[in-house]
Amino acid sequence: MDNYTLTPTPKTPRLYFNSESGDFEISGRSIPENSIEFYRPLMEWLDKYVSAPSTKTRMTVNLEYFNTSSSKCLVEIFRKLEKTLGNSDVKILWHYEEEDEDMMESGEDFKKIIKVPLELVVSK
Amino acid sequence: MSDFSLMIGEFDIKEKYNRFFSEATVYSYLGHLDKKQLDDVLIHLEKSLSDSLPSKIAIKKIYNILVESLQNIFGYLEGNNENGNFLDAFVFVNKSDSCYHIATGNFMMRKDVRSIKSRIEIVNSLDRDELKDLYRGVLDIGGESQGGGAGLGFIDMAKRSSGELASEFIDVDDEHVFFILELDVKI
Repeated sequence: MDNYTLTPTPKTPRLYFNSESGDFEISGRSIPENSIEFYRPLMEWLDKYVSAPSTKTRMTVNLEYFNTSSSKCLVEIFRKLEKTLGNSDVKILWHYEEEDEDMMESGEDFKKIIKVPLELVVSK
Repeated sequence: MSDFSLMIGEFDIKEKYNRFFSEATVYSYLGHLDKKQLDDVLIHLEKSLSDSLPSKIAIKKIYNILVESLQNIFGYLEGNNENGNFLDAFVFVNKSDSCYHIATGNFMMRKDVRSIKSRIEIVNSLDRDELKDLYRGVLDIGGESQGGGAGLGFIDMAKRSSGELASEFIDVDDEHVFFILELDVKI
């Protein structure tokens, strides 16, 4: 299957989803008014991916800002990854800047409610 | 600022706006809040914050809250198909001693006041840990809220601010009230 990539804008993140290597990235800003619409194509792509995932899936999330409607979409993305548990060595790397407690707390929120291993990573 | 009529019956949005204006104002806006204006407001807001706030983290904190509250207002106005002067809104960031004071004002339907009031009452009744738990709970459920948003807006704002969310609902006409929301952010 093809990779899914999108260049960033001031309100939407860079998306890089490589189906072969299992390297995934969401980075930048995720503050669209309509997050569901923005993430829909990615959700559809992930549905295909989880039916035949790479042996290793590494998802890097490195966001400067995200709004609450994006947080709901992130939960859904992570839950799609749950479906690969057992078929892929899957892990989410949640990056945050050392002094950004809010972003660290958000990572902890996701860690609490999803089954995929999530590691908090301090960006220098 | 465009020179539009600001009076609706006896209600004068400019008078409410002026209440908040002071030498301590870091950013303010009064005008329509449709898609294009919302984008412009966010760009100017970020620039104003970058010019006057002490640190990147302070900028992030304030910007985060305002993205949430402005998109909340925008989504509300869009969902109600409001038009004309009822699209007017204002936003303020004022510096006070040890924190930043944020105020927003927008028109809303009288019939929606009760649900907004109860959301604010709920978040005001919770301490920080309870707010965190509520946020996680709503996030865990997934799906859209009645308003088409995530149902997390007020919870998120309450979590990021210090003290209570202060609200005021001012009569405008039979169908509309003007909603003012104020909160403090400690940096």
